[in-house]
Amino acid sequence: MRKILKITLAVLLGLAMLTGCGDASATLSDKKSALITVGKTSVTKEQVYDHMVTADAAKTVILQATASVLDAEVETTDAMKTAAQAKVDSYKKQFGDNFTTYLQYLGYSTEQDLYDASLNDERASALIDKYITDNWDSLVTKYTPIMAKLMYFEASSYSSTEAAYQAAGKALDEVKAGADFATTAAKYKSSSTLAAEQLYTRETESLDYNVLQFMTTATTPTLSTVIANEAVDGYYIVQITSVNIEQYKSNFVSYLKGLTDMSNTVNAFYFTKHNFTIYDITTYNLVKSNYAAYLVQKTGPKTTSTSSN
Amino acid sequence: MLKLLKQHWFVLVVILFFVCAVVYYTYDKNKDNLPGKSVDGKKVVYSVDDTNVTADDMYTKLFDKYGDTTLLVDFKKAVLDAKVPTTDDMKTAAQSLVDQTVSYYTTYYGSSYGLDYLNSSAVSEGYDSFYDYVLYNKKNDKLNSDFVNADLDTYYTADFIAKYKPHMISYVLIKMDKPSAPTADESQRLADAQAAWKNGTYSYDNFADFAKTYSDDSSTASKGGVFGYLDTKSSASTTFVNAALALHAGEVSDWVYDSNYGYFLIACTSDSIDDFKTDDSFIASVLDNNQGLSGKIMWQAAQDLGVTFASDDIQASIKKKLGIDQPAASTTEGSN
Repeated sequence: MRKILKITLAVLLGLAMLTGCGDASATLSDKKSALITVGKTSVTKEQVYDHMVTADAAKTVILQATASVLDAEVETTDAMKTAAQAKVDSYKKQFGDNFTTYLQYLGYSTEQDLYDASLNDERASALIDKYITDNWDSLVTKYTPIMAKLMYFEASSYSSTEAAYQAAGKALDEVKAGADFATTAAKYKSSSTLAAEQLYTRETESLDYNVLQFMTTATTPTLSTVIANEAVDGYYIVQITSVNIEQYKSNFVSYLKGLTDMSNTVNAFYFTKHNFTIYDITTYNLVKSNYAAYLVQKTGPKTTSTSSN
Repeated sequence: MLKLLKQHWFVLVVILFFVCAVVYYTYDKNKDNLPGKSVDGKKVVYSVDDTNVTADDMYTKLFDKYGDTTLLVDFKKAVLDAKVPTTDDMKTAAQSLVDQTVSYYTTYYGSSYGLDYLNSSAVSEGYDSFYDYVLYNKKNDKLNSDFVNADLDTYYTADFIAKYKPHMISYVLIKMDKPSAPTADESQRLADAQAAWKNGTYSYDNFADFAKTYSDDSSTASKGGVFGYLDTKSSASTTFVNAALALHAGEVSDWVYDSNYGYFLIACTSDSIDDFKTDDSFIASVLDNNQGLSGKIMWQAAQDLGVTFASDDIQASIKKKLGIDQPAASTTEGSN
């Protein structure tokens, strides 16, 4: 029995010691090597490494990881190389004798560095194209893009809400009777911008909820009835001009590429696909602070810390 | 065995309970930790697909870009730690400068540019904090000052005096928001000061009292108008500098009109080297007059302490950064 107790105690202590483990810290294999010794003080490789990591590790890791992802996903074409060189040439032409100074201002040491960065920009753009192509169906489902024209009759522009409704009804009848949409919009002082054919998606923030509901459920080019604005007193007429994505594919691609978070979405997608994983808590925290969108790994601390195992 | 278990079943239940509790506690404590990874005995920083980038790989990559600069900072810190003891005066001066800088930055650039911003900048340069950065600069100033003063005849020459016109000065400022169109109050304060100076109540001998009574300058009035060292390298207004440097020791200028500040009355309290030979601004002018001297002083200090380098490349890098022209002849240099 005493033996069992001893074994049990040893197991418990062993397990308890494990609880002291913290986040992983990736250290150099020869971290104690002295690079410089002044008197009795040594500047070690670890010391220099730690300073460099704090200064720039996050950027370096993301740039290198991005390059790895691009290597795996995008073929570098002659057109990309030409475009990158053209960018370098334009800077050289623009800044003349100050080109070297400008390079340093941009954070590049050499002209080659600028070329490499420009080429990576081209490849990153191609990666977004690839993402859109590869995820076309899900993107169409998510955004539900359609082409449409709108007229808007705001009650405050009329003597009453009822008057605005009446005007919308008259305009709708005229369009049904064959009147030109833009001409009718102008006649009723509705915005010419709204009256022009545009791409709308489920994510178009300026659209009223009721209009959005009509648009996203339409399966054929349709003229709406008078639609009440849900938020403000006013009425819409919607003419859906096309629901065939092939007819406005380029518009939708431009729209997607113009989304502010598209770059982050693409990066997250491909960094996940290629299993980008950080195993060093300092680098993890730096990337989390500066490039959070790239941090796709499932394992990691809920709160930041700097302990090592 | 079965008999034993039957006899001590309660103890075993208690043991089982504790084992389960510790196992759960261990799991709970570690489940959110960032896991580590090693490949061939080397610790991995990150991976993409099957490519593992180790800390050793990262060191090489980062060193290409930042190695020279980082090494220089660490080299200087090692030299200064060994050569210049940190005094309480240095700590006080460093803290004061940190406070002033934080105040300046937050006033002119906004609350986002306070101590956290300055600390972050200093850390990216290889210092522990902005205070640490300022303190090392103070120690560097002391190193430079000791070096220059040990061989003052070499650096404080007739040519230097002619070029920099070193002076110690005090001044009184009657401050005006728009000197070209002073307010009635500003004009009255000027008239009062001018009258007091003219009627003989005040003179060079009690210039400090005059400054305490009449000067509007917030940084010098309470100190009796003492500004300290001034030379041609000063960033003060040209009108002010020209008037001050035209004086000899013991002289007081006429009232000097400055279109940005108002009216100055300037006294030259000394032009003797003994009064400014340890002043940081004087040392800065000596360094300005001797390009590369700062690097030479640092290098000499390292030599005195005994310095060794892990490679010729590292030695060459430090020398290049310090502006030392000697070719790297061997891996080691000096004694250790």
